[in-house]
Amino acid sequence: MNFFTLAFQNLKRHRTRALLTVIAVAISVSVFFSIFSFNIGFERSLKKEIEGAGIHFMVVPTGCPHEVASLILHGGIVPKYLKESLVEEVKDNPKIDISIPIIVFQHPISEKKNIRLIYGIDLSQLKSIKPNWKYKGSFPRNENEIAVGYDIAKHDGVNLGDKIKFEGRDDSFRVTAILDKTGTQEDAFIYMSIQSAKRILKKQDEITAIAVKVKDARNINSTVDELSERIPGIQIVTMNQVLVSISNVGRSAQIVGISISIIALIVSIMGIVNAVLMSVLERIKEFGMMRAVGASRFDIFRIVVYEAVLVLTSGAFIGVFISSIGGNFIEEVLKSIFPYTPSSRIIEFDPVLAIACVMASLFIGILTGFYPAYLASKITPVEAIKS
Amino acid sequence: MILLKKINKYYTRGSEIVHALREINLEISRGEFIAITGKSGSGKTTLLQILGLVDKASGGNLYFNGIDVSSLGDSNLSKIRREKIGFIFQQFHLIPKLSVFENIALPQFFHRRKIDKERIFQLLKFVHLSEKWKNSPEQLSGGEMQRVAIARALANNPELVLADEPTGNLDSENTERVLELLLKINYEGVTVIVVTHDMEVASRAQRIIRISDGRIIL
Repeated sequence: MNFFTLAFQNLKRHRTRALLTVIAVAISVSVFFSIFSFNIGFERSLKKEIEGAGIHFMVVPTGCPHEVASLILHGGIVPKYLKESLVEEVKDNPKIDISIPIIVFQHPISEKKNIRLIYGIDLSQLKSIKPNWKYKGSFPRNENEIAVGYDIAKHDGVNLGDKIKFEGRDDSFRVTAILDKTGTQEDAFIYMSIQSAKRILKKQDEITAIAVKVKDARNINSTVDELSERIPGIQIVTMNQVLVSISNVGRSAQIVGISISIIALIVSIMGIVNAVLMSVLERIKEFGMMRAVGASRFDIFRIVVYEAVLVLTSGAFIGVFISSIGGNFIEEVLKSIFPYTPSSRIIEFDPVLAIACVMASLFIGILTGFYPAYLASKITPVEAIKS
Repeated sequence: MILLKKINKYYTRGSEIVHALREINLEISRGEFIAITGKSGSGKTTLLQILGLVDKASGGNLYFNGIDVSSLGDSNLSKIRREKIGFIFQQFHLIPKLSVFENIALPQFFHRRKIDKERIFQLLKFVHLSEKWKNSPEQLSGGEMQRVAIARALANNPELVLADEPTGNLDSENTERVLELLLKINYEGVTVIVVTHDMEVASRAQRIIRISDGRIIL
């Protein structure tokens, strides 16, 4: 026998009440844990995605920077194009190491009728900005060869050597490389030479963006300033701006999510205080008896606080467990709410966050048990004898 | 063992001040078996509460084993209660989710002592409930529950056992068994004070203290 068993035995006396309170805590901790895991994962995945782009900034047609971010990371239909001649103008700046024209668009595949994201780029330069890419096969060298992202290959059942036709074109493209999984949007692209992409899109002298890498990363801002001044009608978005821009868009949704979880937590805390308080009021005579047989005020205080702690910590463990096993589902729900999310897996079990949740619950348990425990400790033995 | 000098007790009931005990002077020697009787509201339970150190007198002095305990704080009084005094209540007050064994061990637990299993089984034998040590109180009859409460009162080898209407909820057969146990306890040297309405129970005591309107009457 110890104080925890006494507290536990009392919880068993009202199983339904105790169970409902534990469920309420589990749900709120689960929401809290999931949203925090998502927020942490969101920043991490976004950073990974941006860094994975392998460039320092993009020269794009003037417009909304969020649209640019979406174009760079997810692919999309861009209403405006840049003149390809701008590539040479950009290259003229001595601080620039690489400037690569890019065409990004969506186009259906003839046989499957699936709309796929096409990434047209100078293939020899692509390898230099993506040195860490791993793939099966050999990297495409000529205009009739393509590389396929991991997800597309998996989803469409594409194998090395397969030939793919695009709607509106008679010629076919041979798959020479299938990328290993990167965990980013790159898994959903088909990479081909920019000439081939232009032919499919039927845009001969136009491109969607120019990807730029400077020789020295410390010169990014000065290079951006120089190019903006020298070339009219362009917009330059650094990868850092993209990161900040997307983070800001996501932040308001994150704040809403955290607010909801805090409200859920407050509601369940009120529930626990109520349940423990009811339990104390029902046991006035029992506490009186305990005091009469020698229990100190602090002994009674401990029994009541332990009840609240047991409810909260068991609820916290269950909540963390639910979040962990239901992470995929929760992530899908949150992704449908958030305006922009990285394509890679965001919610991953974070042991530090899990421990923090349980420890916080332990602390809140002590706080919530405090008032009912104080009331219980004030009960005098006379209460028992009065019966 | 216990000496009460000019004990007064007031309490408020709504706006009314009730003078529950008036100038009580009483001496109780070690090993006595005392019955406190009186009508409802006469002050007998209030006197028991003060004797058991669960309530404080409004005036006067109470000496327990020669020590004036009138001005002691709550923790010191708790200590004396758990070491020296055993309580038996009319309503038994057993904890339903604990076993018979655990209910009896409760005073030892609050004494911060390792549970003396041998002592608990000895007490179970004493109250004739050895077979039911694993049972929950809900599985016991009223008489059995009161016997568990008696065993619990004896768990810490008290010098004084206080019983508030211990037979109030029992039939005549169980009343007799409980009385026999209380007499046995007293025979072993423990001072027993019983508050009762039942003159049959009171007649078994060595001394009867009658209370009326907060005064001891002779």
